[in-house]
Amino acid sequence: MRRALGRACLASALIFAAILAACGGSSPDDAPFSGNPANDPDAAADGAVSVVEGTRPAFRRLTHEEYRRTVTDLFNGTDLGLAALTANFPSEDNFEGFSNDSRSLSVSAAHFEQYLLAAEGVGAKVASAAAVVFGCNPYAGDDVACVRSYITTFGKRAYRRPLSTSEVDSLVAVYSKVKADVDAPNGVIAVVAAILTSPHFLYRSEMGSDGSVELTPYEIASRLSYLLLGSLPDEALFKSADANTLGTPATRIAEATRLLASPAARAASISFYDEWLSLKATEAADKDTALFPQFTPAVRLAMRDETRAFIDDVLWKNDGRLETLFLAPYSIVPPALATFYGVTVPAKGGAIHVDLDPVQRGGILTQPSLLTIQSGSQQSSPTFRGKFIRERVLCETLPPAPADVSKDVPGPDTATTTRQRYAQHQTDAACSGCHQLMDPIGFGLENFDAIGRYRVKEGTATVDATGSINAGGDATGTFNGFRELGQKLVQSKTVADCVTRQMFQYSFGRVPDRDDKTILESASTRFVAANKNMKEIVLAFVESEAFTKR
Amino acid sequence: MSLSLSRRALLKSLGFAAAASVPVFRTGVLHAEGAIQIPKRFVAFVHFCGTMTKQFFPDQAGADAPLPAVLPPLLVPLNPYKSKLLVVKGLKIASAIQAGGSHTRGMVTMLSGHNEASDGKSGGQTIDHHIGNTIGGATQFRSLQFAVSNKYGGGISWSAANQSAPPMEDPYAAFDRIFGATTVPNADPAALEKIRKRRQSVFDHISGDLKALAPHLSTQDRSRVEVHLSSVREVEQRLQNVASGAVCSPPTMGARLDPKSDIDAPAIGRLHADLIAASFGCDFTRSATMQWSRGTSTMTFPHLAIPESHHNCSHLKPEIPDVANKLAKINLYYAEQFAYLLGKLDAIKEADGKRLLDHTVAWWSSEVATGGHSLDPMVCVLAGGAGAFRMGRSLVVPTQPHNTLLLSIANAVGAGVPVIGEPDYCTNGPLNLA
Repeated sequence: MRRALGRACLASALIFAAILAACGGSSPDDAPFSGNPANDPDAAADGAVSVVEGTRPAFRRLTHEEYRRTVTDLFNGTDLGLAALTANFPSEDNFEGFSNDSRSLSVSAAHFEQYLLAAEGVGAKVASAAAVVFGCNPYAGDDVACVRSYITTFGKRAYRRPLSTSEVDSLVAVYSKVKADVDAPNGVIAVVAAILTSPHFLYRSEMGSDGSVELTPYEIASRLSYLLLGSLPDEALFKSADANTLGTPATRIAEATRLLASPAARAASISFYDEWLSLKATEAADKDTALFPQFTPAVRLAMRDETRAFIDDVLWKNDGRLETLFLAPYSIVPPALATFYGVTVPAKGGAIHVDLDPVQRGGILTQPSLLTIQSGSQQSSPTFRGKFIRERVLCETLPPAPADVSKDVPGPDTATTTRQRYAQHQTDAACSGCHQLMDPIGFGLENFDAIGRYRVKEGTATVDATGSINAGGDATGTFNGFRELGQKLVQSKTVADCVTRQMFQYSFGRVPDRDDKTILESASTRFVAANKNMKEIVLAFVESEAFTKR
Repeated sequence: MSLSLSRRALLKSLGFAAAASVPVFRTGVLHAEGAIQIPKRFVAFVHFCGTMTKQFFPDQAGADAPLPAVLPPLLVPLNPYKSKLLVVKGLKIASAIQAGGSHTRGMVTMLSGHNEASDGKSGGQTIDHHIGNTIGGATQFRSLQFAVSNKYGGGISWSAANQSAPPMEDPYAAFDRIFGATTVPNADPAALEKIRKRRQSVFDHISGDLKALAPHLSTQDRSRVEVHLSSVREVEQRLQNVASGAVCSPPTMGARLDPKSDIDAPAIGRLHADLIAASFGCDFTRSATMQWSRGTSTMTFPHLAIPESHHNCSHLKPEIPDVANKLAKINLYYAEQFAYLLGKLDAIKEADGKRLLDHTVAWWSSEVATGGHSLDPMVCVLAGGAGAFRMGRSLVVPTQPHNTLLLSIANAVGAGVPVIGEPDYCTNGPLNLA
């Protein structure tokens, strides 16, 4: 197999398919249409091939993040105490790492109860300042007219579309009944609570009108605003929807460009990377505290924040390119991580831009956050690190470990290197079928320990960071160290296709199906043509015809 | 009147924050014919990564034997409840029929008996929901789900296919939810009545919205909306049917703990057990699940001086003495925690003079049989028995999908049905445990 891989002219796709078939995984030719194993840094070979069936979802619940942003924007940033009101929201499920997949977004009794309590809390705030919020006083004069006008304007923003007359009537009736049963302030609370617990608020509709696959102008506006802002459309976007101009690609691009210039878009842009890279897993990373006393809760969070700040810098201050994300020798280093990098950062004043030695660091793969997540509690894990790149950067599916195979990796000791301890994965035929797809990639990151500190020696041995990507499409080949690995990845079309696919899954809240081939291919082509600027993928989606269809 | 409802403030005014922990004495329900009917309950206690089979199951002659005088090494902490235990060996986790086993697959199939629908999702409803929906009566919660250190999520409880019922991790949030003023009697009746009336209009309105939507949705979307609607109904029933004057005691909670901390995990596990026992005692729910982290958890065991996760240890060779030692410690620890839960249930006296445990099926299991992902013999200790199982025994049964056990449990608590999970795994009918 080694010799065969070396013969450059042999169609690598064939080999690729053969090796993956031996492991039971799926090839990149299938990759756009199949799922990744579960998002779990500790699940070295645990996960399942997903089967995508059925019609496309058209009714997707807001994620908790979208919920909080939407409610905040609905009240124009007024302090509603929303953080406390939503503190007990149930933890989000996810699908292949993405928490916005419609399949994961259900409303259990625990969810509904929390929605109700939060909505009542917001309602109480509104009721105590109703004249200000409503722009008319519902506690004096023609209260029903005042409530009706509020329902019409507020309701349109909350449901992200105009309400029908009967919908307005029905909400006015809620007010009137509760006013009669209890009092006017409770009537106001009831109206706000009814709107904020309505499925028309809690779900984003992409049903189209009258059974057509064409989205309504308001649905297009929502798709655009949730994609770029993670929240409801702003006033200008609502106007475009009112005028029904969003069917034109040029108008959508103009709107997207306008939105991307806003601070809200910048703030929301990290969400994709949070999920693609499983950054939140840093918060729960566990290390053997005897071996790593410096790995404190504050350091964990600093690692997460560093990567977020770096990505923000690349996207919004730098050139936004994949290569910069993966290789740039600088970071935005918080004081808590100064010793990790061996640099000086003033304790006060927050994270600062620090140029790093390009031999030691460069880009997200070499940041403590990812290195820490993709490690064991006592030692680095070439398997986890390789698996992460295999799944998230190459978009390939690995099968679960077979039953009754012992994943016997000895713990750290001073006499052996990590590479030696992982040797059985390559020599034992029961392991190597799949592990040759993971460990040799991870070996390239052996210059970093289990909490992401740079090292040239492990015990007395010099670190060997040579590795290879086996059966990785046009990224296939050998390399030495993280920089050569990163270069292979950023130059690869397989990787460009994968990044596009990941962005698709986040943007549309579902796994692509066969009919998405066109949009994926054109977006990837545009991404490559634009020097792999990350923003271009999203713009390609927005411009595509598919963006206006269910 | 106060427009904002602060549950914590109300709770404090009710004196619950400082409530002493006293055993609950239930009055039961006196029927016309004079018989006292005590509700039956179900609780699943689930740890992950399996056990060491030889030290777990009794070494016995014959298929049906009394439990030995001294239980096997990994069950020793359960000795005090021996007469109320039933150990079953021979079940196979039903997902075995699908290719390959894994932690997530076991997690979604163990309580459902369904195959995995897709990546980490259950193919159907789990037994805790079935039981809660069937025998829940007027209880405020159809079922309650608890988890210790459930980092990254990942659940064992599913209200329907693909619809996870997320567990509560923070015992304080759980306490508020279960014993908070919105659910507890004795709040100012006039204020409660106002809230009730206001909510009724909101419930009616959203139920109308959901019902009007359903016909316009695809099958997949509709199933989600149907789950949503039943969630609305459950909350509506609970919040609107708060009875006044019921006698029950919430547990003492002590200082706040960090649900993400491995150091706090043991104390959180005990608080969850306390909450389950109190919720049963107060008849707030009749069905509960409790999971210890998840299959591929990174939770470590500082109190046992084990810096690795159970998952890591379970994939090492148990022939290595150090590994066996750690695995034994971890498994014993879970046995102690199950014993703690049984102790809490056994401390509550019911109106018929028996203990709450006697009216409960408590099931201790795991999503894989051993660390190597093998699927049989499934970890299975039953306790209590709800008057339907003959206890104090150890059974060895022919290898069969564990759906047969799920059917027996459902029968035992009065929620019997012909099929739970995949119909193909139910052809033998319920396992005979009487």
